[in-house]
Amino acid sequence: MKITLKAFAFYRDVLGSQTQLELSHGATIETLLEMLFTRHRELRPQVLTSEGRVKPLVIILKNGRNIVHLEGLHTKLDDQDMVSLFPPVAGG
Amino acid sequence: MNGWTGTIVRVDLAAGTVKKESLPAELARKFIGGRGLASKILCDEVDPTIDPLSPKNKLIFSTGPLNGTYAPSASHYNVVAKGPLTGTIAASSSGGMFGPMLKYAGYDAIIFEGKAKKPVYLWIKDDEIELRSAEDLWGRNTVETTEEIRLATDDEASVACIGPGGERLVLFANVMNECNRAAGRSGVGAVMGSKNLKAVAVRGTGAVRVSDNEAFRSASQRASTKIREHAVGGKGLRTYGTDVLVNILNEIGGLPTRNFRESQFPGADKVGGESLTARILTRPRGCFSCIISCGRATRIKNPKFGGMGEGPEYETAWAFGPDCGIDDLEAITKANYLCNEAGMDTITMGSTIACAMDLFENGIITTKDTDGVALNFGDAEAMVEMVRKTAEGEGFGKKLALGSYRLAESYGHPEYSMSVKKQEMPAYDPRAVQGIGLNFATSNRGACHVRGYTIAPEVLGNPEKVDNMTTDGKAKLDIIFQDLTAALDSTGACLFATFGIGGDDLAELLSCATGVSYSTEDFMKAGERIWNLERIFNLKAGFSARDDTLPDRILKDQVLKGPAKGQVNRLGDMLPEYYSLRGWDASGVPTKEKLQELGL
Repeated sequence: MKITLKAFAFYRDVLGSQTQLELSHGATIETLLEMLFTRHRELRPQVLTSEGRVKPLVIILKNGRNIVHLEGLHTKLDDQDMVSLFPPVAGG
Repeated sequence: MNGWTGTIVRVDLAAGTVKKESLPAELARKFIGGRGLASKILCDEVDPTIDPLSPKNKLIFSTGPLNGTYAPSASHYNVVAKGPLTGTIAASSSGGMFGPMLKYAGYDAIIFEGKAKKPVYLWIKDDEIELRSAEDLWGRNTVETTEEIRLATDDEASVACIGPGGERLVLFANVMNECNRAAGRSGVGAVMGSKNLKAVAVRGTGAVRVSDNEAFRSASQRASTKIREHAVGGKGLRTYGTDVLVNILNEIGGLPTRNFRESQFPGADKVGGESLTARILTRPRGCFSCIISCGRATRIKNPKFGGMGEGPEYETAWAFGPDCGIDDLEAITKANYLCNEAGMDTITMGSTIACAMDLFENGIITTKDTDGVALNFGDAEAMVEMVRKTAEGEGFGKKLALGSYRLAESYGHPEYSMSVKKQEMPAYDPRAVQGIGLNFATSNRGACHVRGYTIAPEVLGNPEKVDNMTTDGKAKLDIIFQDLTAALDSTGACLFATFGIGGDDLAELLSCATGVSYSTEDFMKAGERIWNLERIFNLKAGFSARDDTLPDRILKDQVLKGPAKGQVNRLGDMLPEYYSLRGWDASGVPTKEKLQELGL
């Protein structure tokens, strides 16, 4: 299935602004991240803690919804889903 | 006194006299300084029912105990008056150097009363204070005014002034200091203009004494470390500025677009912080003692909009950008420069143009109303032209100068104004972020994000993520953020310091600086006291629970697409609980018991 990945702020330096990824059915956010970490090892410590949890203030959205309010890293992905990845940033 | 200087300056503009008064210690302890102290003075001395642009209004510049110390990001002073845009109490905060410089001159606050017969400015050089003629400065923009006053006084003077916007009583005029730092929203610049007061210039050569130097130094170092080590305070804001929020709000479906008709903008990425950094940023800029540096020094290369200056910040990029359907970052930046030079609030300016575009596209106004300019969403040149017309008081610009509510109402359609208490909502769609809607509805100066920035937990996950789509717990969350911010605004610290430090750190800094022992609870209680004080002023001015609401578009029109599809703001689910938790009755009036508890 095809997933669109959008990266923002510092993550763009590594991932570019938008890419299409091909994932197997049943893939989760965790699957997607592991795929990214395989290609970009330096990204893992920027996104996950050493215990494998999403770092505080890192924002991962599935179709605009923060995965904190879904099933976290185990959130399932479907064909044509969009995943947005933000490092800690803020404004106001 | 320590932290405080202990001296307030009172200027009678009509009589042309200046006198110095002592700051009562009990007043300082209870209301801290900045927003709290000035609000207390305003409430004690000004009838809330007056015309805000009459000589009966007072204009108070007020610093906090941390201003001028080496506490991190402690640059902010407040300008307080009854606001002409809203009719509520107005407290506008600004960074830069003005607040610390006033402390170095030896003063906690300046109270301006009455109206000068002719334009004047106040010059303060330590102990010496004098009113000087500003007749030659009237009509000059904020940059020219700042340069000329420095030439006439001291090249290291800090100058807080109005531009043509304040002189022409644009209802959303700012007080600007260091040319680009704005005490914005609510129109305190128009109050200054109504008093024929062009500027306040200060050069102080003293220092701020703190109570326990060693403890204060340690507390400041700990606070600095926390901010530096925080992922946002230490790196994110410096690199991308506040405008980095554009893409986040757009992705969650909370970026108001085309006067809040939609909540996602296809061109968002072109106007976000990533694009700003890549295309127009020349360098980050910080205020006094700032270790964050969120300010953006920028340069526009396109000769059509050419120039250099500061901005845009997130709210500004949104107001002139997505809210007007515009994805031209250089046009947005030009509009920002024009507002800074004229001394006008960018949120209200952009939102008022968005409202006019909405009226135009729906046939309520035509080119006959707009001086021949087709005001379609997405027209960048028309947007910049409307800013210029407003700044110069020309044609349709005179109507825009009244803000969106009065503009839309004059054509029989106030529902086109996306405002609360006549002040325009900032860059967060309350249908996608429920708690910020409650904050807009209850904010004491009309819709405002910096009265209680629940975007931090609801969107950014700071300090922890709460669900933006639900109303559960939002009343309590709003109250915590509102009280914390009211207390923080009274210390002299920048709101962004809270991307790293909290109420406990601020209470410790305050205690070490002043020698008055503030527990975290005392600090939050001071914030609650200030919030209730402001509420009482507004109630006496004629506001009631009826005014604690949101535009019908937000309460009734569902978001049509995107992550927030189908949502409206469910204010009715949150407001009764908010009143109850505040200790107010069902009409939103503080109970006697609550006022006694707060010592009001």
